[in-house]
Amino acid sequence: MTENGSLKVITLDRRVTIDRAESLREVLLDAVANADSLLVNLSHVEVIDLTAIHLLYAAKRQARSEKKRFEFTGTVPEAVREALEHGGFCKRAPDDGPDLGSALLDFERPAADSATDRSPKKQGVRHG
Amino acid sequence: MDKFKENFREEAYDLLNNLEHSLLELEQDPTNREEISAVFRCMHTIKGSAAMFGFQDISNFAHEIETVLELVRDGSLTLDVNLINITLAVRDHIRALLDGNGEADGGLSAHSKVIVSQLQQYVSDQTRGPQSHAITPVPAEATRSIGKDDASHDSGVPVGSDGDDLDHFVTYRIRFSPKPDIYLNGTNPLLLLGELAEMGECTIVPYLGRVPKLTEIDPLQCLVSWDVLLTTRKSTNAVRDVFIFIEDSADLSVESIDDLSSIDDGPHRRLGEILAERGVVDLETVERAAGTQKRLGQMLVEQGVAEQDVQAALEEQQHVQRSRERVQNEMATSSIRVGSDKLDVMVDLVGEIVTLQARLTQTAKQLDNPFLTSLSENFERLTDELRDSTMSIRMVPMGSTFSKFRRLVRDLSQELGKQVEMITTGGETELDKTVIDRLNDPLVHIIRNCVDHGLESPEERTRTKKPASGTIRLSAAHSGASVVITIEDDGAGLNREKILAKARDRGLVAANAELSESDILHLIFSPGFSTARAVTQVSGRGVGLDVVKKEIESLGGNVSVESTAGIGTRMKLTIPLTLAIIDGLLVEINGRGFVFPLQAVQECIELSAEMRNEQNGRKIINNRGAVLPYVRLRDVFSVSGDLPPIEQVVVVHSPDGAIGFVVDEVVGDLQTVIKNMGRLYRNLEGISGATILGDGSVALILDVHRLGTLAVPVRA
Repeated sequence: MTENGSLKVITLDRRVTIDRAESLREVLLDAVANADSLLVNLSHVEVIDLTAIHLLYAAKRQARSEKKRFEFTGTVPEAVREALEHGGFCKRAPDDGPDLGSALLDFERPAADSATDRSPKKQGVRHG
Repeated sequence: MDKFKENFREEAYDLLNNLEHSLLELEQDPTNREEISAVFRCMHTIKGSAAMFGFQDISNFAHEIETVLELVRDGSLTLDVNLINITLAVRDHIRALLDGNGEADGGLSAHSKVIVSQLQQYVSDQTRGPQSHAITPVPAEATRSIGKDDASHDSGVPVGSDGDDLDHFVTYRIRFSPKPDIYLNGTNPLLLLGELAEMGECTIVPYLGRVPKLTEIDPLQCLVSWDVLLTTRKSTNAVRDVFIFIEDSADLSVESIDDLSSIDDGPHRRLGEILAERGVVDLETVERAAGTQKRLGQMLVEQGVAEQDVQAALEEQQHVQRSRERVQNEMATSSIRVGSDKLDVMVDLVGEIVTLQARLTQTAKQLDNPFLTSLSENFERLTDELRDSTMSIRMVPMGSTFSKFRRLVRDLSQELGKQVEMITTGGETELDKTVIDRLNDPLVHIIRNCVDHGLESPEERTRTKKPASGTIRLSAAHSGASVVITIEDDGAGLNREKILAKARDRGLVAANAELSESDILHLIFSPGFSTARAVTQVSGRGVGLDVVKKEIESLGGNVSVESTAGIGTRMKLTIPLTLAIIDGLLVEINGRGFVFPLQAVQECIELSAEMRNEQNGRKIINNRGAVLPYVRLRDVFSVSGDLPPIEQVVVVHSPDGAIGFVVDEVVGDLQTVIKNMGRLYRNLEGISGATILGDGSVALILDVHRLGTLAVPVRA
């Protein structure tokens, strides 16, 4: 991953729902195309739905395929945490944006090695 | 099986008590959603477990009221006093059914029908109009099973209910694959998943494999599917109902994969089995992969099985394991019921250990052996902890008793046409279970007195410019090693002239005796004072306030009363925390030990020969300006031997004022394990028990209140 180069912070709006999905996709596409590092700020989000979560995953995949950095910043509002947990994308969503990437299932990297070594007794083991 | 039935009955009694409590709360605040659901839950649990243990009549009956309560919970019926009355009647009836072994005989089953028809009447009155929720009467004889997959619309359960819960937990595997166009009909899959999560313990595993890169994605398509593992008491149908509106826009399968009806640890399913069951791989592949040295998951992934599938299977394995553990924990360790006789045995044993430990300490001191001393000190620490925790097991909050009284007050006030509000505080105060049990009757008596004699009729109250509704305050609070229970009413107060007149009439006081205000009030506790009216009022008990006083004193406590005319009356009961072990003050008379309950001891002073002679043989001393009558215990117990030059006076406070007990020597305080006296000595007055001292000798524990009245018969 490139650490140097241009950095772009994308601050999401209050509502990131299906009616804004197309424009969110444009914004993300533009950012991935024009920056080496992307920081997504979710702090202001009050309503989020599945379309936005889809797009974040898609953007992450895009960034990964182009060897670019894709991370979160700011805080993770209650509404976002709830949506992520309801969808099973996170077991327990963190409050801090920077922690979110590693908490999201299948986000940082494909689940692989962690699948092999896990005690069934432990709860809340991360496998992302 | 009988043992299970017994357990069920005990549990049901508890539930009924909770139910009563919630209903009385609701009477104050009929909109309290939490209490409404609590009432509903109680009834529901009773119904479920009654059916499970074969109390069909109770189950059927509870079902009726549950149906109505469901309407209340849904908000289609509002709760009012009538419904609360009926529900309370239901509660009493279920209790009667339980007492009668759960089988309705002729009378009871007729009564069931009466209550059910009252209910139906009530519901049809309330819900006039085309959508009235009629309840189909279920004859009490009919049997109905509360079983698995019980469809929601049988036996007249109103439309809109989500059906009967199962009586045990089931883990479901729900595979939910929305079609890509699911958004088009306005569905938000996350909300559906949230709804599932509310039904129970939930593990949600999304499949994200189909989510492409940003350049290829159509943001208006749903590309995720889910495996949800849900452990719940809901039936399959109830789970399916969540998805009822999107049946056409998603593929859905709901399977029960683990039935937690028993807490037996079922066979642990291995990863390979789960994967095979899910149709990801066949068992043969699993066997082959298992043959290698690598982890199965890793191996399968290498063989081209999708990671996500392995992942999901692992999640499933974990979830099943976790929910089993939880159910086990819930059933096994959250609380256990133990007969109080077993606890008594334990307390006895701890008492023995405490006694033995005291001897050990003493021996160690005598032998002056450092090793033994250190051992004994460690042992003492452990013994103290053991004692405290054993005692704490027996501690029960007063709250449960309080709520019983709320019902009593409610029923009494309706009966007597008075308006009474009862306020309780300090329900969390804990007391020894035996003490609480024995407090019940005295408290019932006092509260009945408050409602019956203390509080005026509403008309009378209005006339004297008081609020029409009277108030009874019942409170409990810790005060040192005792608990103070106060019962207070804002009624007319006690009439001193009448009390005095009656006491004279009955020969309880001499016609010319001068009594203080407080002395007059305390006459109500004298034996033989109780009026004829009071006897009929608590007919069958024959309890007067003298019995109340006696009972409280036998608990080592005392009663006092204060009253102001026109303002109200306050009774105060002071009760020791526990009966088994008390803090005592050890004294000696001619080398023999006696124990005072430390709680009663005010101070110790010296009594010299000069002081004895000062008062011309009258047994009083001047204690810092106050006259203190004293009793020489040596005389009371006929102990021979010479008087020491300086005696000690243990000053004890009692409701009648301070009394001094003269002893030879005060040794010091000690933890006293109370042992009951043998049958022959049980009725000895002035002695409440005995204890074993460190050196193995026996010391009598003095009942100071009794001794005081014995030795100082008339106080002027």
